[in-house]
Amino acid sequence: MPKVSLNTPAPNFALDDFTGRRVRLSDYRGRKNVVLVFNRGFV
Amino acid sequence: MAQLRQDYHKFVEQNAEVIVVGPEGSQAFADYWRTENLPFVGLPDPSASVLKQYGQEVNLFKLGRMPAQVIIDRSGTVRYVHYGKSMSDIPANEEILSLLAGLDAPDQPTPAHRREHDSGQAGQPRNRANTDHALAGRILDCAAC
Repeated sequence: MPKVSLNTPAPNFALDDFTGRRVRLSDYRGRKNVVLVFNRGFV
Repeated sequence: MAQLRQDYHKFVEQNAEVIVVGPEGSQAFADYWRTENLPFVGLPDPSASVLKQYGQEVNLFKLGRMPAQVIIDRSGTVRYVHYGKSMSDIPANEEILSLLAGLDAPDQPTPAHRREHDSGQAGQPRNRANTDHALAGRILDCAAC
C-alpha cells in the first residue's frame, strides 16, 4: 500500500464532516498546520 | 481520543487544527463527538478514500486498521508521519506539539526563503562572466595554433 513520504506535498482530499460541512485539506493551506489523525475505531 | 481532547487548547495555541478521519459513518461520528464532547474536526470516511490515499495500514490478523498520524504544515507539505504498528502505538501529544512548535520557529527560515536569498547575491553573474572569459581565452589560444 502506498504511504505518504516526508517533505512531499500531502495528497489533497475533500470529505464532509459529520455535520455535513465540506472539509478540504487545501482549506488550511497558508493558514494552519494540520494534525491528521487516522483513528482505528471508537472504543 | 480523550488524550487529544485534553491537550486540544495546546494544539490551538500552536495554530494547528486536529482532524480525525475514521471508517465509521457520520451518525457514529456524531454520537461519539457528542458523548465525548470532542472539539476537533471529525471526518467519516466509510469508503476509506482518504485512508487509502494516506496508506493507513490494515492488520489482517486483527481485522482492523492501525492508527496513523500525519502532520502537514501550512504549505501543504508532509512534515511528520507515524504509522502505528499496533492499536496502542500512538505518539504522545508532547511529541506532536514539539514538532508543531518547530515548524513555526522564527529562527528556521524555510528552504525556499534561503534559496531566494542565495540567488540574490552578486557572486553568480561574476562567476559566469569569468567562465565566459576563460572559454573565450581558450578559443583564442586554439585559433592561434
